[in-house]
Amino acid sequence: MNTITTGDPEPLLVQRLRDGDHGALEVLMERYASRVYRVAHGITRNAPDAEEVVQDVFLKLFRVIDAFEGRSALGTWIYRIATNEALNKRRGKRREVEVPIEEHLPSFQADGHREGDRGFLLADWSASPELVTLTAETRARVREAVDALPDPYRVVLLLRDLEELSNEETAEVLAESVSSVKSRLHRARMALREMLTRSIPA
Amino acid sequence: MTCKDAIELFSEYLEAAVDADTLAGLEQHLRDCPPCVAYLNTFRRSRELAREASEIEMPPEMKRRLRQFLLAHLRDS
Repeated sequence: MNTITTGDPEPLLVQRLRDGDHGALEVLMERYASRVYRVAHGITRNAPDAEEVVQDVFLKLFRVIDAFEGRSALGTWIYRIATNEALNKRRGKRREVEVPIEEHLPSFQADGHREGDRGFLLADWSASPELVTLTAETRARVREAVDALPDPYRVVLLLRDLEELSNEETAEVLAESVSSVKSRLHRARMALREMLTRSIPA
Repeated sequence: MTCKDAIELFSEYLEAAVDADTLAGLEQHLRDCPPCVAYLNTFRRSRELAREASEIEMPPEMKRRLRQFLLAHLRDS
């Protein structure tokens, strides 16, 4: 579980950063660069943009460290900067029209049963031996499905299920309520499941 | 409990965040509903796949460029 904690060294790190110590930035890089990159890549969906985001995030970290009040863990703060920078980068690009999440969600009949033919309803590919070790093709299909989620849904899925932040940490990163995070996360997961059930052969 | 109700609970179920009464109702529903069992299994696996497929490493070259970038820009500050 990748819980962010303020371990003992971090207040010291923050202080050293405030003092303009570049070595402290190096330590932060070692600790967080991969995570920032992963989030940036998940949000922007391409490596060159993700790389720019990582550079901007660490530069910004160093410059705005005085604004860090220590009310949240340093990691949470870094994730927040990374998420916002990545989302800004996304917004700046001409994009394809996003499919609304509702189109990816399961539909239900009036009596509460799921809609769909019997084969689809019973489709259970979870134990498929082909998924034990992911082929490049399956990996690509899964990534495509995640990428197809509208940004607000993809972001919450990335933070919760990939970065393994808690609901509370995610809510802090996104400056939202926990209930908003939970509700959007569940819809993101449902949408992902629907897409994968269609694209992964049973 | 309908399938719609059950599915609505699956995130919490996977995180062991369902209260005892609701859990009993959910487990009863799952005993009688193969489509919901299929849904739950694939729901769980989808989460895992998302993580496995998205485990992306920052290339060493990129880390080097990051270091160079910061050195160049921090000189000005």
